[in-house]
Amino acid sequence: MKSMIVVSLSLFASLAFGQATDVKILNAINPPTSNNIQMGDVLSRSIEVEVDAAYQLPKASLPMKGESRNGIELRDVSVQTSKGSSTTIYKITLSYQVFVSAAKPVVMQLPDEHLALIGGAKALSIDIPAWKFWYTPLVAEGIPNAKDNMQPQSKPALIDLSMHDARLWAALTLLVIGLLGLVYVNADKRWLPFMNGAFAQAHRNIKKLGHEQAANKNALMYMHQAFNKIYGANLFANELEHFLSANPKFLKMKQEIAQFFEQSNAALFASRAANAIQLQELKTLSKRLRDCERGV
Amino acid sequence: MHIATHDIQLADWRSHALKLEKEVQKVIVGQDKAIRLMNIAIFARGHVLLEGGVGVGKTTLLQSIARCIGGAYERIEGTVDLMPNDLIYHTYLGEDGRPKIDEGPLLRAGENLSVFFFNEINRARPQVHALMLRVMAERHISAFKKEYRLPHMVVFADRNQVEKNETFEIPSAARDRFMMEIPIDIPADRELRKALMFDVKFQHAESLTKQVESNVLQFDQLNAFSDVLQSHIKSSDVLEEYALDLWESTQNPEKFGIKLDSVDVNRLIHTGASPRGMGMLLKAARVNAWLMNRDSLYPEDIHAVFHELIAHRLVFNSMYENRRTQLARELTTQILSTVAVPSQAKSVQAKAA
Repeated sequence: MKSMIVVSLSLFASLAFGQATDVKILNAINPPTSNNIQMGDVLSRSIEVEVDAAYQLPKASLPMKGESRNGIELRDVSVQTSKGSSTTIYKITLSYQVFVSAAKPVVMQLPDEHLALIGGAKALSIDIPAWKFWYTPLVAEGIPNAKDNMQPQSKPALIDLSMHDARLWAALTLLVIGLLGLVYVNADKRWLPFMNGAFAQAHRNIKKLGHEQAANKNALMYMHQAFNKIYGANLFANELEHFLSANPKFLKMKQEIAQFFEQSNAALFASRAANAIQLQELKTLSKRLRDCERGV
Repeated sequence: MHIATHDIQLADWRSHALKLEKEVQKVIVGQDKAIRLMNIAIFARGHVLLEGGVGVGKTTLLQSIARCIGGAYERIEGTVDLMPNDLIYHTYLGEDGRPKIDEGPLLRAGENLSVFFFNEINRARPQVHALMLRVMAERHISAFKKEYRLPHMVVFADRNQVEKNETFEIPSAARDRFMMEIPIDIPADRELRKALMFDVKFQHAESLTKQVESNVLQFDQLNAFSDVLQSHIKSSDVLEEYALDLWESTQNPEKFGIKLDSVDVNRLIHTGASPRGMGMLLKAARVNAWLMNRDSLYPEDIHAVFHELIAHRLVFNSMYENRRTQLARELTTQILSTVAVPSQAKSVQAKAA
């Protein structure tokens, strides 16, 4: 089936362009429509041919740019050349502009072209046949006033954007939710409800502490205040199990909390403050507990 | 070298103390907390008042502990006709038919007396209370024209809270002499209750007590060791501030925002804990720290003994006095959960300033 189509197209192109058999037409494209052409319209046609490498298409055999024939002016000529080992492929594109003034619709044509090839044993040429089309005047004949001939401008058909609209809103909603989520997870300040938990406050206060001598003890105090606030009473190491069963969101931090109480007791009450907990550790711990508190 | 000797001594005594607990736990089930508190009282050299219903095992508990401590054990039953001299001497007709006088339970063992058990102390008259309280405080008494010293004696008394007929309420000054009042409750655990009902070994108190190893402690060295222990355990400024707050909260609970259901806290307290009571509290807390193998006092040590040390020392206004057992428990619980340890803030901020 596919091969049939290719053969048919080649045959059509050969007939349409009246090409010599030594010049192999690979592709030929005429303007998409042949009617309703008006003054000023630009019509382009192109042809892609394969010839023996011995032949060349000299610049002199191309039609002159600006040449006008029967109101059809050649506006542009371009040639693309790609050389193979034994053949050369030329892609010639001709652009014409219509400059004719007619009061009635008439049949016009893009002129035929004969582009002579040189260098080979035979005298070959690339023949591009004329291409007919209907010219339509801008204004109908006999209308003294163009105003009467004016037609209401038809409103262009609108592209349906509802799907894009929905996607945009969905994306924006996701973006906002994502941003709120990021704020909820990371923000220190109380910007959203449920953000100002006991450990969020403790973390803020601990971050504000400088390097003063009592900073560590003050940080411990803030941590204890947070624990007490959540527990609803003073929380001590021997009540941790009860605290965790009442607040299971802190269960994953069980070991760290137990260690904190041990170190806090050592720092606040022991005569030898071994393994004293550092301010930086308390900052990290308060942030992790804040995450537990926020359920992230 | 000196420190090393102390450490060895402390560790050695600790192992004996823990062994005492294990020995008593073999025969007394479901009373681990009471046993630990009794152990603390022994090493803090304090007298103990046991409070509980009839037949909950108070006497067996005391006999078991007395057996572990070693030394002489004496006992007297509180009755309405008991007189002070019944503790000092008793008279009887000898084999020759002549009246004779012998030393009473308080003097009989002399300096070897380690445990004096006063059963149902609230049945005895106030005169008897007065004598006992003097002996408890001074640990010596004059009789038969000589001085009897009782340096190693601790008094374990019990009172039955259920019956009120023919009893004399122990006045607050008297209660204050006791280091602790320990409630002895029936175990809540169903399996333990079953064992107490069906295991025949629990039905022979005397043979049960004999299963406990005797002389686990050297009773005549307890006083000296107690001094070593007390000086070994240190307390930080923060903890001292906290203990002061606790004391103040027993006097003015409303100042700390303490609230009790259906009670006007402003009118509840007549007299809070005494200086002697707070001194005893810290003494007992230090023993707890030592048993937990620490050399520093933690708030948990105070909490471990707070109720038993403080509740019986509180004097409520008369309108609340008849509910004292319940209210004292609620108040001490509220104090511990309300008075914040990080009133560390005060000391910390003061230091920072």
